[in-house]
Amino acid sequence: MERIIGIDLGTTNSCVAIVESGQPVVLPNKGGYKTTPSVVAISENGKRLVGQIAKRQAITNATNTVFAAKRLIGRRWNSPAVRTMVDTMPYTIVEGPNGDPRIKLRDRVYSVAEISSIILQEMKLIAEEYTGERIEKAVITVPAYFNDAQRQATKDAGRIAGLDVVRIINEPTAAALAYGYGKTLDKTIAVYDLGGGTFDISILQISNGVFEVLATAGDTFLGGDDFDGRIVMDWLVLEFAREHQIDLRRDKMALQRLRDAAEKAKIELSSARETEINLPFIISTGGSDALHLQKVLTRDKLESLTVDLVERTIRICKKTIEEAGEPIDDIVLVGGMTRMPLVQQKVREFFGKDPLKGVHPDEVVGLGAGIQGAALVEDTQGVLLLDVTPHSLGIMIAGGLFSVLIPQNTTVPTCKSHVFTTIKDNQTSVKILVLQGESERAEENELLGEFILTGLRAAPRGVVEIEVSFDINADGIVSVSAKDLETGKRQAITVTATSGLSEDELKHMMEENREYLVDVKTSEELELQRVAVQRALMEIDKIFPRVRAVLEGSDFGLDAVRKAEGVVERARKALEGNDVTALKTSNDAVGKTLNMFKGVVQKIG
Amino acid sequence: MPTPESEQRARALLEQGASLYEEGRLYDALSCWKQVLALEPGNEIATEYLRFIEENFQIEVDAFIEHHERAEGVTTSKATASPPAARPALTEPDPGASYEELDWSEILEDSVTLERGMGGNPSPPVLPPLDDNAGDEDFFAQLDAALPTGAPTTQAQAGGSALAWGAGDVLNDSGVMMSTSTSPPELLPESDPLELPWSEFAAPYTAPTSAEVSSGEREGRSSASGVRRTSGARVVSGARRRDLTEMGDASIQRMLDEELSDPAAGDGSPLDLSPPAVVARGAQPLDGQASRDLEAIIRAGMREIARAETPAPEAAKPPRSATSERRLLFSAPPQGADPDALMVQARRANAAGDFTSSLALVEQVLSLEPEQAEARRFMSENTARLTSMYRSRIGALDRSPRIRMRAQDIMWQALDHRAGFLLSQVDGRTTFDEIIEISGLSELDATRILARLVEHGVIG
Repeated sequence: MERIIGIDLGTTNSCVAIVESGQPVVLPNKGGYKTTPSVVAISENGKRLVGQIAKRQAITNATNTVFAAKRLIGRRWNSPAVRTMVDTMPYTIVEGPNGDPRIKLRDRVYSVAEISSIILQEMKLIAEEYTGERIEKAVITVPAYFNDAQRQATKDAGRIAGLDVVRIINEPTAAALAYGYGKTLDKTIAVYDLGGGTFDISILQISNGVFEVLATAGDTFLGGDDFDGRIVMDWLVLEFAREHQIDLRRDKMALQRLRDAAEKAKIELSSARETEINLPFIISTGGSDALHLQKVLTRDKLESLTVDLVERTIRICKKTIEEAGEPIDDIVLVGGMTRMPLVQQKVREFFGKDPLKGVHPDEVVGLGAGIQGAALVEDTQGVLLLDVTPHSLGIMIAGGLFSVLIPQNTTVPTCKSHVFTTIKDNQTSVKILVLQGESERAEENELLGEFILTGLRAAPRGVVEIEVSFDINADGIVSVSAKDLETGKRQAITVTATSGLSEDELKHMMEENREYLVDVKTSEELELQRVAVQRALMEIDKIFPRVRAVLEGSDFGLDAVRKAEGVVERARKALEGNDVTALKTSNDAVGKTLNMFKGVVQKIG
Repeated sequence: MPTPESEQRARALLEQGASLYEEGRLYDALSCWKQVLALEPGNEIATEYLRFIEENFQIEVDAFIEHHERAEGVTTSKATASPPAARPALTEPDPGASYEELDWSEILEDSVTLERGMGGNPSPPVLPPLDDNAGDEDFFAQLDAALPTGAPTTQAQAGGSALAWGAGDVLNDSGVMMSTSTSPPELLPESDPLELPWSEFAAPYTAPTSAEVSSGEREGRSSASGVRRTSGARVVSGARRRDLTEMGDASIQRMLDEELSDPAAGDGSPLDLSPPAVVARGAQPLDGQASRDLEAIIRAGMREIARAETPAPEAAKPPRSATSERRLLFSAPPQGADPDALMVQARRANAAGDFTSSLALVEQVLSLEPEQAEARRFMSENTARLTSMYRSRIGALDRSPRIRMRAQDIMWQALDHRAGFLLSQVDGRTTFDEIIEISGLSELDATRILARLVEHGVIG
C-alpha cells in the first residue's frame, strides 16, 4: 500500500513519523536518535554532512555550515528577517537572481530550498531504511504564520528531495492532531512551542474536524540555542577567564566543545538537580600543557541564567491570548525546551493549569504529520484535516484598505465574489491588487498579483458595478477575475505562489540531487572494493615467497608466478586510482590468485 | 635443530619484545626479536614483527639498531674516511612517554650537530624557539630554517667525510633517529647525489640484473640505505643495503622476495643476504603425481584469473558533481627565502627519506610560487604518503572507536587541545572517518593525532 510519511521540518531539529499498525511512531535515525539536527555542512574535502555530524563541526567549520535555514525559506532578500540573518549568521547569505536569499558554501551558491531539501532527503532516507520501501510522498509541517511563498518553497524543497509533498499543515495543528488522535475534540487549545531556535504560541479552535488558528505569534530568534549560549558565554567562558586569564571564545575547538557540553548539561538538568561539565585538554598553553575545565552546573544556576528568556515567552503568550479572546481549554507543549522545569512552571502559572504531557514534546509535531499522512491514504474520518487557506485573501480598495473576500481558515476548494464600484467620475479602468494577509491596511499585507480591467463605460462614480471573484481550487491555485457587470468585459489572473525558484531551476536542482546520490553510492562502493583488494594483497604477500619457491621449477609454474606478479602489479595500480570498475576487476583477479596460491600451499603442506 | 630450551627462550624473547614495544622502547624490542631470529632463523612471528616495524615506522631495522649502538659507543665495522666529529649521545625516550612528551629540543639539537659534523664544524647552530603547538612539519621547517647556509652539499665540500653523504642522521616521523649509510653512495664519481635533476628524482628505478647485483656484491659496493619503503618492504640486512628510494614498489617487492625466499643463501637465515646473488634459486623439483596435481591447480587458477581480468563492458559513469579541491595548508617561508634553494633542500630531504621535512619545505615554495608544478606534485605525493602511513596505523577507518583508558589515566596523558577535541568526538558511534571529517584539522594532522591515540591505547 502507498505510504505517506510525516515530516516535522524544524528550525533546529527535524523528525519523521509514520503510522504503523495503527500507532504513530517517530522513526530513529542511524545514530538511534529520534530527531535529526537541521544542519547541513560542506567539509574541507567537499563532502556533504547532514544532521548530528554536521552539528558537531558547526563551530570549527562555521562559514560552511548552515543552520536555521527555515528562517530564510520563501522570504525576499530585502525582508527584515533576512537582513537580520545576514548580519548574525556565520555563513554567507547573498542575493539570488530572483530577489531571494541564497547561501554560499565553499565554491557554490545554494538556494534555501536546496539546503532544506538536503534535510528532507535525510528524513526520506531514514524512512526508507526503516520501512524497507521506497518513499515518494510526504506531509510536511510549517509554522502557522508561513505565507504562500514560504509554503511553496517548502514544497519545492520536497520536490528537489524527490518527495511529492501532498499536504502542508501547520505545526500547532499537527501537535493538536497528535493529542487528539483517536478522540473527538471540540476545544480551544494553546500550543506553546519552544524549540531550538524559535518560539511560537498559537491558539487553535478545533471543531467539526476544522482546526482554526485564532491567533499566532512568536519570536523567530528565541529558542534552546539561546539557553545554551547563556551557559557558555555568561558562565563557562567567564569563569574560565577569571581563573586562567584565557578567553576560550578565541578557539573554535574549545567553543564547539563548550556548546555541546552546555546543551548536554541543560538537558540533564531537566531531570537532575546538578550536573558536572568535564572538558579535559580544553585549551593548550605553552609547553606540553593543556588546561582542563571542570565545573558543576546546578539547576538553580541554569534558571538564574535563563529566567528572562522564559519570561519573554510568557509576555508573548499574554498578548496572543488577548487577541484570541477565547478561554483556553488545554495547553499543548511542543519542542524539547518545554521539558525544562522552569518553562513548565511558568506556563502553568500563566495559564493556570497543567499542560498536557502525554506525548514527547520534540516528537509531537512529527507524529501529527505522520497521522495526517496516514489519513490521506486511508481517508480516515475524523482525522483528515480539511484543507484551509492559512491567510485571508482580498483586494485593495480606495483609501489603501484591505477588503477580504476569502477569510483565513476557509476550507478549500471555495469561490467567493463581491461587487465593487469606481471612485471617480468617468473612471474607465480599475486596478485590482490581489493581497494576502490579516492587516486592515493593504500595504501591510503581501501582494500576490495585480491586473487592470479597462473599457469601463464613462459614468459618475459609484455607478459602474464590477464583480471581483476569488476562486481557490483543490490544489490551492487562486484565480481572481474582475467583470464589468454591464458590459460583461472581464479580466483575470491566476496567482501561483512562487518560492523564488523558476521551474527550470527546480528541475536542474532535482537532477543534481539525483546525481549526488549516485556519486555517494559510487564512493561507498569504491571504498569497499579498495579495502577488499588491500586485504587480499596482504595475504598474497605473505604466501608468495613459498609459492614462488615451489613453482619456479616448472614451466607452468613460472607462467603462474609471472601471471600472479602481473595481477598484483595491476591491483596496486588500481588502488592508486578511483576507478570502481578497475578495482572490481582487480578484486576478482587477486581473489582468484589468492585461491590458487592457497591451493598450492595446501598441496605442498 | 632447535632445542626445547631455545624454543622456550625464543618465546620469552618474543613476549619481552612485544612488551618493550608497548612501552615505546623500540630499540630494545627490535633487539629481542633479532635474538629470536638468531635462535630460530625461521621464526615467522619475529619476522612479521620486524616487517611490521619497517613498514609502519619506515625504517630499516638493521640500520636503526646499528645507529643506536653507535650512539651508545658500540664500535661499528664501517671504515670512515676521516675521524668522526664528537657526537653527543642521544637520549632514549622515556618508556611510556607519549609522542607529545618527547623532548624535541634535545633530539633536534643532536640531529643538527650531526649534520654540522659533516663539514667538520663541531658547533651546533642555535635553534630558534620551537612553537609547541606546531606539528611535525612545522618543527622540521623551523629546524631547516635554522641550518646555516653553506652547509656542505657535496662529498667534496664535506672533505670526503663518510657522513657527508646523504643528509646525515635524520628523524623519521616517529621521532626516531635513523642513520644513513656511512659508505659512499653507489654513484659515478663526478655526480653529486644532491644535485640530481628533478626528472631523475622522479624517474622510475630499473632493477639491476642479477649479474649486476652479484658483481656489485663482489666488489663490496653498497649504497646509502635510508630505505623508506611503503608497504611490502622486507628487512634487508645491513651488509647489503641498497638505495631503494627510487624503485617502484613492484621492482623492490620482486627483488626482496627473491632475496628472502632463497633457503640456500648464506647460513640459511632468510635475513642473511650474503652472496651468491639472486639468480635461479633452489626451486624444489616437482615430479610425479605432486607435479601433476600442482599443474592442475595452477592451470585452473590461471583460467579463473584470466576470466576475472577479462575487461567487462565499461558502464557509463555517472557525471560527477563538482566538488571543491582540498585546500592545502602552507607554512610561511623564512624572510627572503629563495624558492629554488628551498626546492633543493626539499629534494635533499626527500632523497634521505625525510618526508615530513620535504613536505614543509615544499609548502613554503608554494606559498611563494603557488603554481610551481614540481612543488605541487611533490606536495600531493608526500602528504598522501604520510597520511597513508598514519591511516594504516589507525586501521580500518570505518570503525567506531571507544575510549580505552580510564578518565583519570587520560588526564595524565600529555595531550594538547587538538587531541582533546578529537577525544571528545569518540563516542563508540562516530567512525574514525567521521571524526577526521569534523575535526577541522588537515587530514594529515587529524590522522597523525588519532594514530598516536590508538598507539598509546587511549582509544581503540
